[in-house]
Amino acid sequence: MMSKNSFLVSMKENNKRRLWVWVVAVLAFALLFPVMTALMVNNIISSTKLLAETYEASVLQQILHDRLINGMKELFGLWGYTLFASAAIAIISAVQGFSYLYSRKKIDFYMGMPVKRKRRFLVIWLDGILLYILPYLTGLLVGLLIAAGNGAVNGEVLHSAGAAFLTNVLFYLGVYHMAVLAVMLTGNIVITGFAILVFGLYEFAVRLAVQRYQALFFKYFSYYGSNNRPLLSPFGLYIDLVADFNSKNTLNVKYLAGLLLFALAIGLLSYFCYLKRPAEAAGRAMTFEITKPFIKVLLVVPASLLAGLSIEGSVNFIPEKSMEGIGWIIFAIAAVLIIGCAVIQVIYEFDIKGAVHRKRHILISGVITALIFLVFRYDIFGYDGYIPARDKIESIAFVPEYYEDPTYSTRFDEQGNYMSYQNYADRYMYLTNVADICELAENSMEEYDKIDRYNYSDESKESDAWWSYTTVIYRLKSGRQVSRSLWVNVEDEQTARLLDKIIGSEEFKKGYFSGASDNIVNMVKSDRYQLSATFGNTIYQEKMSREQIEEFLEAYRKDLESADFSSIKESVPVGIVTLYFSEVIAGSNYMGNAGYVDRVTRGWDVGMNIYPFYKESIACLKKNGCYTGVQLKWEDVEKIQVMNGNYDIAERLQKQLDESGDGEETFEDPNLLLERGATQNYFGYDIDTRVYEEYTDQEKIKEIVSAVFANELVRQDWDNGKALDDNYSVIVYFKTDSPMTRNYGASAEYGFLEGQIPGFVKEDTIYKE
Amino acid sequence: MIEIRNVSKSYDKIKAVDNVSVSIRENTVFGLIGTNGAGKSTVLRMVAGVLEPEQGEIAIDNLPVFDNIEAKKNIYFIADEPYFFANSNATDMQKYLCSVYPEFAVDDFYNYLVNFGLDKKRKINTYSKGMKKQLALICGICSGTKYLLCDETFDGLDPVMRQGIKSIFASEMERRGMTPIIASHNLRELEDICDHVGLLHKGGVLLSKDLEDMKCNIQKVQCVFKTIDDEAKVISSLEIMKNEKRGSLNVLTVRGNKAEILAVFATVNTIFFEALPLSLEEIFISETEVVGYDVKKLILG
Repeated sequence: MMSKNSFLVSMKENNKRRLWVWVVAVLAFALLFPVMTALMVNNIISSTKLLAETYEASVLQQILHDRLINGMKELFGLWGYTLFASAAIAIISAVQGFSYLYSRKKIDFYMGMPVKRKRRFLVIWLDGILLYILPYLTGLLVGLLIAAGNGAVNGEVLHSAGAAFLTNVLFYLGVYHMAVLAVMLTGNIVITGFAILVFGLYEFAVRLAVQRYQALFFKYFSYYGSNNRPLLSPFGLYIDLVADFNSKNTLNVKYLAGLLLFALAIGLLSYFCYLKRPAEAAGRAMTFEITKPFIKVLLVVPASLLAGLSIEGSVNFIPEKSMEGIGWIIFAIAAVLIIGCAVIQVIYEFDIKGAVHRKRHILISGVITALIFLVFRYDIFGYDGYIPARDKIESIAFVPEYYEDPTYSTRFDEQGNYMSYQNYADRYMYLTNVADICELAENSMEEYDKIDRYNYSDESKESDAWWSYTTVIYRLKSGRQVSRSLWVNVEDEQTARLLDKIIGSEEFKKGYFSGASDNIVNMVKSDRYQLSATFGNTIYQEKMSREQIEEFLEAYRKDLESADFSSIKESVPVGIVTLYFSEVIAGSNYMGNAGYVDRVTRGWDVGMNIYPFYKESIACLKKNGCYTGVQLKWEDVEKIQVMNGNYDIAERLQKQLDESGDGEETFEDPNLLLERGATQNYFGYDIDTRVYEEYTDQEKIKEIVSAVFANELVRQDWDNGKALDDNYSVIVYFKTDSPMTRNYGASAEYGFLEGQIPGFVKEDTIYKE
Repeated sequence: MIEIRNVSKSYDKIKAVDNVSVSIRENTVFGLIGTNGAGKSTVLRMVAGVLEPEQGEIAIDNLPVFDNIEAKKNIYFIADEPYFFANSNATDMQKYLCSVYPEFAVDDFYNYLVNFGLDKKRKINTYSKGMKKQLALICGICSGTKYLLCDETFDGLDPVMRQGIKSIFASEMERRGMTPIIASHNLRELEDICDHVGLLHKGGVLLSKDLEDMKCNIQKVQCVFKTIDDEAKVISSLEIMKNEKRGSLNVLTVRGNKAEILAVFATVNTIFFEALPLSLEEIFISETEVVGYDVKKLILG
């Protein structure tokens, strides 16, 4: 039997005071689950009916089933609206539950009652959890019943719903405890609101400030490995957990434990503050006097640093170039510092006169802010030039973004989840030639520090240097990971020697080239994916079968073993093997971490350059009849139009024009000049130096055909390898009866390699002054 | 018995209660008097266990009160602005109080509501200020606690209602030994109800005495002495607390019991002599003036 003063009676009485919160929670979960289920089921059924003419009944039934299951997995799973609802209910519940602490009247009433403070906390706290869990479970159950009635529930849906429930409850606990702590530390609802906002955003703001200052002052700063996402926040942990769940379809215990630990730690802290909270704190801004100066300084310092950053763009402050504009940055920092301290003091005292009180806090905040600013300005901790000691490095990932990637291939993991270049390398590249990379980093940084990127001189323009960007991820034996940007001069001999060793290593190829990945081999072997494959120069193409690709990949891997930086740099591809995998997905058009996909498929594409020295690959392609062997067949060509821009001449003439004083017009808007009838070439020179020539003569066509390469085949790349001459544009017109006209189109764009232009073309298209 | 020993409490840097020591006996009506800001509410809130003293101890029947459920079971605190749940009626309050006070007298509660003309179904937020105070008092009386702490509770009650409450207090005191502790800034309100009075000023206790003791120990006499020597003899023989002279008429406030004072006057010649009754206000004025305070300013404003 329940005693009159039992715990349950206390909970019941407490709930009577919280009816409206219950109503909000019930409504929220009624909308999120049963109502949304009914709407989604109805929507899926009606949209699938539209496919009735396209598919047979059995296929249609399968599509409907797949769509319903996917829809329900998404609806009952981890998605944004549940996150929002959970956070909102947590905050409302915490603030409403403990709001009596804001009012002296209520405190006199409640604390005068013969109820232990611990018990009052426990009752309110537990009710705050129940009013989330019970409506959630009820809504979920009703939603699942509706879904089950439409055949939209299976093990996957239940698994998704269970995982989401567990995650959401832990997330709710985290936000709930955070809001309770905010109530305990403040004395009125407005300040509590600010406190919740600060708790939610503080770590993010601090991380953002640190990251932005690093990016501003450190030229070797890498955004990779620099995460803005707060770690000490249920929101950050939730986002990480959801991303992980979507890619692996299983809850990561690490994130769950993180959420639980966060909730526990903040819960205990809020309980401790509750016990220490004096009744007279009701109505004040802050509960504990001692926290006031600390909170003020902790808020004002990052705010003022961020204020400095906010105007960095508008005053064009580029520390690497000069300190011009730093005065404005300091002014913004100081202004926000002073105003911030004043505003917080006004809030503390609820009196505008408070703005001029506690001036020493401004001084303390100012000193701390200045110290932090100086740490970045003068790189006190040696961040920028940091290269870990060789003996402390376990392995390295070296990521030359967009290098040797003709089609900007998709990078993906075993599950097909898309990855960035850095993520992919981080996961699959474990370079052990630490000394080479460290030497490359040291040399490159030393040389790069010498150049003045913002003040070009003629001398620097004429330099042979070609600086390419890369990300280096050092994995230390301690478990720490350090990422830095690195600019390497690929034209430097020593650099090339080191790059040969790095790029020539097996570990690099495995962790960089999509074509060398086991994932792609598995995809080729799997029936789950549709595959279309071609070899060609993007104009002349031959299709390849799945079996041929399987064979080709083996040959390609063997060829890749012999490839290194120099051999690739000095070669021009004979063609590209392009693979496109696709998977049919019914139902949802969003697959979480797997990215956005169209309504029925998602796809992955991989491109592989084939160089003349890839003997095995070429032999394999030839054996299977896929090797085109040529860039252009003269028999298909009707005529060729060559345009020479003569840009060197244009630049020289423009310079002369400018020096003669007539060049004032160059400062005018080029569009206005054009409107006035002036002839310009598209580089904006006043004098049009372009010369066009058409060739229909078969001999000349043959000579041109032997010298051209498809535009998309030869790209000036990360390695500054072979490139097409910018001055020349070659448009090939195919014969009307040629198969190319049918298969490709009436014309195609080609180019000449630098220094390999036929003599007659040069003569015919030179600009005559 | 409630024992307050060397209790101090500050708000920020302002000392609200400074080293207060008072004992409140059972089965008496204790009046806690003082101006606004004297510390009455703070003392009551500490006695109710709402505030924790910075220094000193407060014990209810030898039990420390702060966060002590056993001690608090004996106390019901009616704050100067009593709180009722939002949108609640008297029945809602009764249900809640029943869950907290096991001895809550439900029948008495509804009887009192009827007697005081309060509708149990009417929302409390539609009650007048006086009605809310009546309801708060009814809740307190029916809670069955031994000690009833009333902070300015009689303010706003009409004389008839005050009389009614007083008679309820009297019957509850007689029936179950209830001990009301009433804080007020108005001396006249407490005059006919308190047995014992504590006077607070600037956070400290000026005095704490039984009213009867005070009344017996101070006498007021008006007389006309025949000679200056007679007057001098009386003044030198008695402990004169105050001597107002209006022409030849002397109005003397004298410390001591009535018989002793009359005996002294019998030894001199007076043209006119009369012993006058003393009001609580006059007793306080006399008592506090002795310690250097002008109580009219303190109490009466």
